[in-house]
Amino acid sequence: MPLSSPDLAQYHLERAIALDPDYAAPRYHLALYLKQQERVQEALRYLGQAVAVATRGADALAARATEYNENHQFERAKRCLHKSQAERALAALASCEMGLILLGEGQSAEAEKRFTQAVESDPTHADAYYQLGRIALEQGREKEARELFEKAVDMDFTHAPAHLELAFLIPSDEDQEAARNHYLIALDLDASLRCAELEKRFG
Amino acid sequence: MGLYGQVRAIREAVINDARTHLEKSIELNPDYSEAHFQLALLLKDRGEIKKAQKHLQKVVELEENHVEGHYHLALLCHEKKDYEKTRTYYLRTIELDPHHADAHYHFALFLEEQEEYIEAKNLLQKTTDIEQNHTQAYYRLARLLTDPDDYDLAKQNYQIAVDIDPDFAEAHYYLGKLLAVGRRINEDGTLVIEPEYESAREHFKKAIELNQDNHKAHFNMGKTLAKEKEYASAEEHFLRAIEIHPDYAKAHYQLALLLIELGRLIPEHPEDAKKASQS
Repeated sequence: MPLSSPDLAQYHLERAIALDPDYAAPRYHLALYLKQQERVQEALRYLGQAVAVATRGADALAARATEYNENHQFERAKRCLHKSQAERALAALASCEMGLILLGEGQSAEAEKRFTQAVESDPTHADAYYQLGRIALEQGREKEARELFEKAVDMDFTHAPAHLELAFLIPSDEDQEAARNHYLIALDLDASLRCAELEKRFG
Repeated sequence: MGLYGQVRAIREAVINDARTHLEKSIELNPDYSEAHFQLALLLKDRGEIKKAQKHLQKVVELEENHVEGHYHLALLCHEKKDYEKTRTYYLRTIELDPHHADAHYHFALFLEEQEEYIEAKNLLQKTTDIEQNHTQAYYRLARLLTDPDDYDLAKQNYQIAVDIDPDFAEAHYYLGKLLAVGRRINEDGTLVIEPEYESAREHFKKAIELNQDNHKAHFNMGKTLAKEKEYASAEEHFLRAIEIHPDYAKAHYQLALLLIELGRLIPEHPEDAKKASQS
């Protein structure tokens, strides 16, 4: 039976992984593909591998950069550091994706660990801060949630859901202007956001 | 013996004859610097490096201003990885002849190896000032200009290289890559990504025309076409890259991403997805 397009995609992703065991990106994309097909456990397995491979790669590249720096080979050191950062960003993406799957499975404690792992790998990962904020909010830690949402918009000003959460979270007696601004930014960034309640609140 | 064999035999006889005459000349006059120099070049060509070096050293000993003697000693020391002497001989060559394009060029390559990039770039620039048709110097300079700040300069140098030599496959390939990425610093100092896909495609196409087995050119052509949503052609190039180099992990990966994209367009059947991408 001939392979259909998605099956072929899986074949080529698996082939890329087999050919280069240190290649994290195909693992990440294979996981996304499996998640789409609701093959959650397999997706989690590949995401775990992607995190491990990317982190290992990032550490090796950072170590090589240090060596180059010590030998005054600064250009090479710079290139290694850039590559290392890219690997860490990929590890963060994969960790965050694991967190989202686990959240969907109702495992919020495990999910929180993954989001924390994501911001440890890449401290600029806005969505991981946002997800951590959501968990904190659900657990009634409002102050912490607000800090995390603020961190998310600091890292990525275009993160509409974080602006929206901030619009809700800032108490009306504290700084109504700031809350209103977050609301307007959220709407501006993503007009599809359902803001009926906010409209009621801010007029 | 075939024609090629006959030519080789004749050439070998001529070289051996020349060697005998040069050795005889030196025997008769040990201070005949030009004989030492020609013999050194002959020996170097035949891979007799130690002997060649000995004769070149004799040349610069007899004639301390012998430009080509210093230049060839630099090349030879570079080959032998004797870095200190390489530097000394190149510097001396350039001191003796400030317009020696090849000395500037090869010294630049040496400095690039030593990671002295700024000086290497200056020397390559100087090479092109001296010899305005030095395609390799334009190309090497462009390869060194990797900073987004130098985007326009890199592009310009690659462009000159392919203008002088339209069949310069590597220059077409790397110019294509530069244009496909389009990472540069804007006039206001901000980093922008502005790929020039159409031009990139032209250069990848030329690189492929010049070397049909260039799997990397097929791969990058595929990536560029995929970005422009020309999925069917992109797939063909990824498949060709894999056909040439079956263990090319990156090509398998990019092909998979493309197939997922096609699957998303028309999930039922790949042929339908192909048609959709062509329409």
